Amino acid sequence: MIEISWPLLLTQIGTFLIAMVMVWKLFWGPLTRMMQDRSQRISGDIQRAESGRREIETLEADYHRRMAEIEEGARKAVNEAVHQGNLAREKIIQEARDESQCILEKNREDLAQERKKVLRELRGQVADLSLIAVEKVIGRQLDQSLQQKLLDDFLNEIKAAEKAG
Amino acid sequence: MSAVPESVEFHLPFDSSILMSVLTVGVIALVSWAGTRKLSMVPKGCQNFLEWILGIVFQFADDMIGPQARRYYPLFAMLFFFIVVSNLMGLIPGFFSSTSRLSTTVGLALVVFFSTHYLGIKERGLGAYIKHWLGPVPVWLKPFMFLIELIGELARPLSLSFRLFGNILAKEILLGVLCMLVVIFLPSGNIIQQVLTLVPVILRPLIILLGVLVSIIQAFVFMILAMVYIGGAVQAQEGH
Repeated sequence: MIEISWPLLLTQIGTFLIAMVMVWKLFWGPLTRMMQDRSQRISGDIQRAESGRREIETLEADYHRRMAEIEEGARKAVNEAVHQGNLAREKIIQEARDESQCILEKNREDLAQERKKVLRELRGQVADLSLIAVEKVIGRQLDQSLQQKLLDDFLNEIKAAEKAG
Repeated sequence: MSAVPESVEFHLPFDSSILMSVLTVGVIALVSWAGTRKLSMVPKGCQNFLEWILGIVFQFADDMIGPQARRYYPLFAMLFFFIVVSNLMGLIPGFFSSTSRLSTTVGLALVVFFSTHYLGIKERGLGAYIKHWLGPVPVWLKPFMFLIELIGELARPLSLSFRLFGNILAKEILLGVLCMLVVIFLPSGNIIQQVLTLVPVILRPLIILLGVLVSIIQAFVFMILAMVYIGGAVQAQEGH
């Protein structure tokens, strides 16, 4: 039982070594290569997924940055437009005010001139009527110098009355 | 006569342990064929099992030796499979483990012994390999160091072979004795002996379970020690 048979020992060694070579060549070698291929493939997939994740994070950060820029630009543009609108409104209102003021002043001037003209015509008519009335009262024709004197006196009184009034 | 009381005599013109070794190799080949018949990137069934076992062996080798362990995968994998299948075959009634013969275990230990020194010299060169046996000691101590290392190296195959042989033979003798106790006790007219038959009947399944555990553990121990020896030989370590 506890003895060593050298032929048996050498046969066992031979059996073991031959079996090792054959089993490795036929079965375990290809299996091991496939396990290594799978390991490399999984490792590559993980690396690709990791780089993809990093790329997505970069793109997301870029997207958020650009969106912030766009929002900032839009806010500035809106503020600028509002400012420009306010300026335009102020300008239009000011122009309208100036224009209306001009029209008002012009109308006032026209009205004053018209009034002066009417007054002048009215004075002339009143003077004529007065002279006619005087001539009817006295029953004779007044000469030119007298007419002029009466007319001047009358007009002076009217002016004085206007000043007093 | 068989070394193990339980085993069957096959009346072969050669030692039965050779038949057991061939059967062991046949089982390994069958399992390997079943596991690699339809290789798939997504393993299923037997391929999954085979990959699991080989993965454990390769992981141990990588952890102990490093990246260069890849070259020694076939030796370690075959050592583990051969020993574990051979050990487990002894649990089948009528069969016995070829590892319960000293010639087999010494043969395996010698494979490890010669592989260790061959690979050590191949990887590091003869000079450097011999030098690491002399150790980092003063010159006058180097012969003693060499002698101690030599004894240590020679003790390795002895311990490897006797550990495996002793464990497996003990397991098989125990199973055989329990079997023989049943054969002796049961037909006897003595009522006490017939009651005592229960002891081996209950014990035997438990010893078989223990045998499975011992078979796997011994295979692991042998494989890991082989890795340690070969790793120590091929790796250049200061002070070793």
